[in-house]
Amino acid sequence: MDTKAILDAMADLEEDELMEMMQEVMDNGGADVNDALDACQEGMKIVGERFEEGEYFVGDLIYAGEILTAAMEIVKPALSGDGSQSVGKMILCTVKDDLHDIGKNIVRAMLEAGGFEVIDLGIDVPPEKIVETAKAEGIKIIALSGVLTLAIDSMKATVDAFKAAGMRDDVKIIVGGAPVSEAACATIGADEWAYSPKKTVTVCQGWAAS
Amino acid sequence: MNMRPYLSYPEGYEKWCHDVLPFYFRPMKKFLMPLLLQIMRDG
Amino acid sequence: MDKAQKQQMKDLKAERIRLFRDQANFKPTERVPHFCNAVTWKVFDAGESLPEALTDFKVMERVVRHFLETYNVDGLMDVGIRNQFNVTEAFGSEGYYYYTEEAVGIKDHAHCTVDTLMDYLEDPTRYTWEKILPEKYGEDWVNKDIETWRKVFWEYLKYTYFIIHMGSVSGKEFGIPSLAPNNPAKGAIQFGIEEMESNLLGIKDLSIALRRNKDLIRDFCEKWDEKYIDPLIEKTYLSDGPQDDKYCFDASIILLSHNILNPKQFDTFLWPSLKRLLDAYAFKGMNVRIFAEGSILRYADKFQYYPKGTVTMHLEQDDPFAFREAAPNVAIMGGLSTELLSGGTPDECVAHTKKLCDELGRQGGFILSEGKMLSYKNDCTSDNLKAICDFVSEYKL
Repeated sequence: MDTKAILDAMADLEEDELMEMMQEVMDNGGADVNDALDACQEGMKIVGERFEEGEYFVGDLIYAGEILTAAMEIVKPALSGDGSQSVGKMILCTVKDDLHDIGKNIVRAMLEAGGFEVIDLGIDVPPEKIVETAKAEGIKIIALSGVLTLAIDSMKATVDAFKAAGMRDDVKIIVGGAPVSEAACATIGADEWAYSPKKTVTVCQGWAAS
Repeated sequence: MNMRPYLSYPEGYEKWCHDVLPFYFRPMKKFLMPLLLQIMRDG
Repeated sequence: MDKAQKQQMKDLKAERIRLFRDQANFKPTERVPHFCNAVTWKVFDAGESLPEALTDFKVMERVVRHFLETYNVDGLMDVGIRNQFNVTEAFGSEGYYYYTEEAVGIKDHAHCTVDTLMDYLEDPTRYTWEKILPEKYGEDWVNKDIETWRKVFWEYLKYTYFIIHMGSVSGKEFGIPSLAPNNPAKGAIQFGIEEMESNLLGIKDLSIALRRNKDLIRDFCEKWDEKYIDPLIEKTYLSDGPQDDKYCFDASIILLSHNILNPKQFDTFLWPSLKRLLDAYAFKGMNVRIFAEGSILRYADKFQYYPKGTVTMHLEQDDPFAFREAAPNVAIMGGLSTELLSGGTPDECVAHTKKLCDELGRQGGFILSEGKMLSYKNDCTSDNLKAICDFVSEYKL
């Protein structure tokens, strides 16, 4: 197996080549599956870099997420069932009163490529549901997404709900999306804010490692 | 009697336009109906 | 209104059109005009209910009047016409648009797959009739009592009448000019790639098709141009040129797809069509306003090659100062961010507006506007908008 070729195919968004190579991994018994996935993750990192440099844009990120999911589907049967590659579990969702999911889905693909097991609660998610899920699953990292200015209120309400549940010090919260800024982050009371999927991944990986 | 007179195209569509439009609006069919269809399609 | 008041409003409207056109043409003016991008925020500001305003034209008219009586703006992007709900609701079906007490939204939808795109383009009316409407409203969708359909038609007429009526109210009673004429060929100007993103494939499927079905997407754009853009270009070349006394701009275009296209894709799927159209406007000395959703800064250089007075870029999220530096020939509309309008103080808003006027408008080339449409209740505060309107209407350059 040529891990460099897998990495390049992912980074260059060469779907056919990538799928062929992932199939090859399976045809050879699946022993190299973890190395192949590592290569995909490295390729996704380059996709993120090319996005920051302006070579790729949003459409490319959506496509990258799509082919990464397809690649993982091919090798899934060879993966050990307990998700031993995971750097940690986290929650991601678009907050209450906001139905936008394109940005959230891109971030999800990048987070999964970054080794996270992402519990995606979907769109228009009320604070209580986020708190309940964090409690039930023991989640320490929460990523909240939104596009509308209404989302700022909902993000704040979510942070407040964690406070009310006595869990604010147990979780790290990152917010992202069009209306989010440093000032908005302070108003919301979140721990961090992000303007790019790459920053979200970096911040969350830092939290998971600490 | 055809119970579904409007389903076909272009015959059903033409009949639908004819039946829906009051006669004094019929000369404006080409202008009025595409916009109505667009509202029904995208709205 | 008496005759003198009517004349006063007529003169005010003409004066405002001149201000917009002079700034768009980089001619210095005595003050910077403000084309306000307020949409459904007006409803909350007037203390009315959003569902009522969207379904009752009298309420919406009250909202617009309240807005124009309260805020001294020179132009208004939306005079209350985002309310087609009565039309789709008249036949008892839900459309893609929906509303709550807080917001108007649109559900994700895609009328085609990559396999049916060309069928659509071959005959859009047939495809709409045979495929889209049955899929949206159910197989039996058209098989309704004819009286129901007549009611739908009347709601549609009432809606179109309301659009005309509100244009007249804002123009005759408040001196508010219209932004730009509609494209006589087909409502708003729409490019193939934009239609695929907004209606036919949706953002996700288009993003994938741009890679998997590149040739098909290119074919579609070319055939779309033959059908819709080429006739418009021909009409533009044959036209009498600028309509200085009627509209603020000779044309208005909304761009969205540049937000998903990478530079190579932009050059392949959007720019060739847009360029040919802009070439025609430049040749005729006409001015076009382009509303660029999201960010278009990285493509600023493309527009820089047009002479001053051709393109006015309405920036949604880009920094206007950075855009001016990147494309000094392009007039800018915008400057007011949601962050400032919702989170700033009136003093901060005035200071920022003054800076915009001084640095971007003194030599012409700047029209004040809100970047993002003011839609939700938190998008702006009334005090901030009032402070901006009072300042900009008085501030002499």
